[in-house]
Amino acid sequence: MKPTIAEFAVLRAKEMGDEDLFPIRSKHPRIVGLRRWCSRHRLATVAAFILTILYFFGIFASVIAPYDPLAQDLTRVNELPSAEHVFGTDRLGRDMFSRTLYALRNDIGITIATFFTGAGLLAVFLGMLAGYKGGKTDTVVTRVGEITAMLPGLLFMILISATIRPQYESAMEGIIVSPPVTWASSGGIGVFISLFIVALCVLFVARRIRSGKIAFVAACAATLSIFLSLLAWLVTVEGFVDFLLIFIVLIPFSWYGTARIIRAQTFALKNEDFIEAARALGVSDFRIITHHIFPNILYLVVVGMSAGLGGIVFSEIALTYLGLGIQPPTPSFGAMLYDAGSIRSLQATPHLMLVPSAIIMLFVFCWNLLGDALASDLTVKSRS
Amino acid sequence: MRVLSIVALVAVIAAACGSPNQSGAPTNGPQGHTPGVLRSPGPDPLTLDPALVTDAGSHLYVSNIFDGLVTMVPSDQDVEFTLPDGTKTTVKGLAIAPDLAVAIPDPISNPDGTVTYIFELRQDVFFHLGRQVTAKDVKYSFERATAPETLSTAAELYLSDIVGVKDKLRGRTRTVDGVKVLDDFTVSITIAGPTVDFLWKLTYPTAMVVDREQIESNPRTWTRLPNGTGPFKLETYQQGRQLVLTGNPNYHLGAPKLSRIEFSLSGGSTLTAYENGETDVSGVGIADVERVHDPSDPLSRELVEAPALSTSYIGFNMSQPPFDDILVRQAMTRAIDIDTIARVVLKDAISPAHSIVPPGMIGYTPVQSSLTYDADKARELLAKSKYAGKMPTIVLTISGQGATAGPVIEAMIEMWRKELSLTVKIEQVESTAFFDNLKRGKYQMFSLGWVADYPDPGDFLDLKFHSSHSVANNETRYSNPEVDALLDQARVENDPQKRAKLYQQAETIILNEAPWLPFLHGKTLEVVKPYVKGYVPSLLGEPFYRFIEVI
Repeated sequence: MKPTIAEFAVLRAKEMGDEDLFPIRSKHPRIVGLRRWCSRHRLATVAAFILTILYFFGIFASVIAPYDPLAQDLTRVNELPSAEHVFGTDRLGRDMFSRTLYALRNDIGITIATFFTGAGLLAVFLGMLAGYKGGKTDTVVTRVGEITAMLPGLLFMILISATIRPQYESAMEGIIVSPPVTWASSGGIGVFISLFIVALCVLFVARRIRSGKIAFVAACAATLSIFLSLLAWLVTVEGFVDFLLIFIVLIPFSWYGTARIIRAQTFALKNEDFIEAARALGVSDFRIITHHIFPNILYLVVVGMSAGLGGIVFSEIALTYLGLGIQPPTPSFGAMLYDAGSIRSLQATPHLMLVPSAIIMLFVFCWNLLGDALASDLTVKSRS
Repeated sequence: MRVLSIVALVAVIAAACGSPNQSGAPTNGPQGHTPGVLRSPGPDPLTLDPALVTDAGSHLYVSNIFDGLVTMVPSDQDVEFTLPDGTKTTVKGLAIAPDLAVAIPDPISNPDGTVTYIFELRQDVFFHLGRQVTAKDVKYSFERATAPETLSTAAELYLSDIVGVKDKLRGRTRTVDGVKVLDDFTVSITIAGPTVDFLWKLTYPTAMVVDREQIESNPRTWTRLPNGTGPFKLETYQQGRQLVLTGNPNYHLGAPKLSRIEFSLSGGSTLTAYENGETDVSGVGIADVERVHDPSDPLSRELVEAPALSTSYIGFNMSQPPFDDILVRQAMTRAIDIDTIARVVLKDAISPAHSIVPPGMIGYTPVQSSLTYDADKARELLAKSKYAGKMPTIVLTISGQGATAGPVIEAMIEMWRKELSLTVKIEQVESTAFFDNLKRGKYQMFSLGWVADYPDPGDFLDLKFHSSHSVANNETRYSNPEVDALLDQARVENDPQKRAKLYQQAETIILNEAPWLPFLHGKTLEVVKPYVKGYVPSLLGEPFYRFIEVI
């Protein structure tokens, strides 16, 4: 009988003589894998831990924040950090800690939204499409991608958001009060999340009874409902209209990096024996893509995304700093830096600049570290 | 009509707050100044065509490159101001002086009720390129400024007293009958009635003399190097970088003492540049207000501080909901505690405004608004309005760029949210597009400033609130026959006291109807190097460059 992966890992560890280094307490193979990964990438583990905390604070900003981020107290302006105001107050007497949390929430919203649009789903879809179909489809996708990659991203984002903003805002005014949106923002999240749970249960049952079709439908329903619940959450975030614009602007410039890698991998995979075998058995293209190719490129998606998210957050901050992103008075890091960004205010009220800068640095740096660690795994994998 | 966006107004004061991205540049140590050369930060002009000037940034340069029949100079009469902390200060007043004309003519009343001024021109006036100025040039300049194809919105405000200008502006006639060439050096100007402040209006750039030959030979690009008669010539203008004026040694009113003025248009921290000796004057930003007032700081000895005749306001467009309802306008006015904002956010550097006309007009006491801060009253007014409970989206448009709208606007937005539960969205628009759309009446609510063109309440009340003006000059669409009647009377009233009373009546009505929410009166707060002599702050917010000397 062949050993399980966990047992194999122990055997290998013993062979290498470092079983003490990886004492295996749990027998679950995934946990073992995770532990090994963590000890190999200590810095990335710390980064992932910090990101988890940041995301936690950001998503629950409205619960954690001690003050309304917009409420001003003109009797207490420019105060340095104290027990009452952990990060101090800004020049209108607004609590910096609450404002930082809400600004963090915006950036988290943007990373999530970008993942579900440009850099995530679109990249995966187009990458697989181009790689699998080849021919003209491939040419069109790659040429379009190369053109967007050729253009200076940030400059074009500035151009687009500066030109379409007025029309966009008048269009959004109608959408934001339309019934589906108001419903989604009031009770939608709960409904979608319960839908997600139901779909998961169905998926579980379907796996047990080995019904592929039901499982597939349930998986789709689960994905859709988690997507919708995220969307419903995003709609409730203040400044949603603004950062929807940001990621509309980001899409054309953020999909190609990931899509290119996925295309290459798909291209290599589609000539593999197991794909040939599936095709010989008469399996449809759709099923080949979803069941055979997609699982094999999933790690690429994770790597591509985590390397790119830091840059996406940075683009948002740059756009807002230039007045083209999130509009005041909605809290955002770009605006905070703009406000505090002069030598005088750095001398008089250093916390106004240092606090947001430190958080941004952590956020971007952690994503980059995580991305690097995942990418190094990839290099090792491809070499072996 | 000198409009000023809030960004620009506070720029007199907050030049040092400009774009904060230039802080890291290393300094090369103190740089020496050159006698006769003034280095100053400056705004980017929207235009250098005198007929099109509507903003303070363009006025600054155009008024030094061109001349009109008459001009404005500091007068001997001092104007007294009370500062927010209670101390009193005096500033030199302003007077009309002849410029292209030999003397200021007396008005001649005609039997048909019109009034004629006969201007005798100086014979020693030459354009910078050498041609002599004659009466024909004066007539051409007036007719060009009022021609519909010139697209001047200012001409309506400053020249429409002249007989024939209104018809010309509407394209009904090709000439302006009120301006006549009597001989090569004599021009007569006839106005429809005995308007008291007509000569003041002639000091505005729309009445300045331009070179017909240059304009007709080069109609599209002549403003790149405009040919005027003024004390300074334009040497170079690089948008966003530098504008250089050189002295005109043949200037007919005496050569200016400066041979060169270098305006840096790039923004940045001008106070840092000043301290490094890279510029000779600098505005003082809010962050530095306390520092420059501290007697132990060397900058305090170089401080020049003077009130300016200007008002920053939020304009409500009365033709768009919800501001067609007076109760909404009044409620939004009463929800703003501008005194606290001025004290806390602006550190008392600028005075809060409670009137439309700024204090400091000789012989006129501005009316204090009765719509003072009172949150309960504000809520009551809003509850009574027809938009109670179904308030449409309110967008406040401001000119400028950058991530924030400035602390004053943000503080007001929060006050509306807190006191009235009104969400006001901010939209920032680049300045050229902003003024363009503003003149078309597109904005629901906007933030703007008005700097006096001449020290008279009519410059605020008559020019901004008379309903006969076109949309371009009446952005709030204010219209009240009673106010119009009062303004018409005041325009021709010779008795200063009666005139002031009429204006006060008009101001009371306008303030109560709240088309404007005035919030700040301007102030010059600058530091000037000791070797710059004669830098006298003007009530109009810009110095008289031809009297300045750098030794």
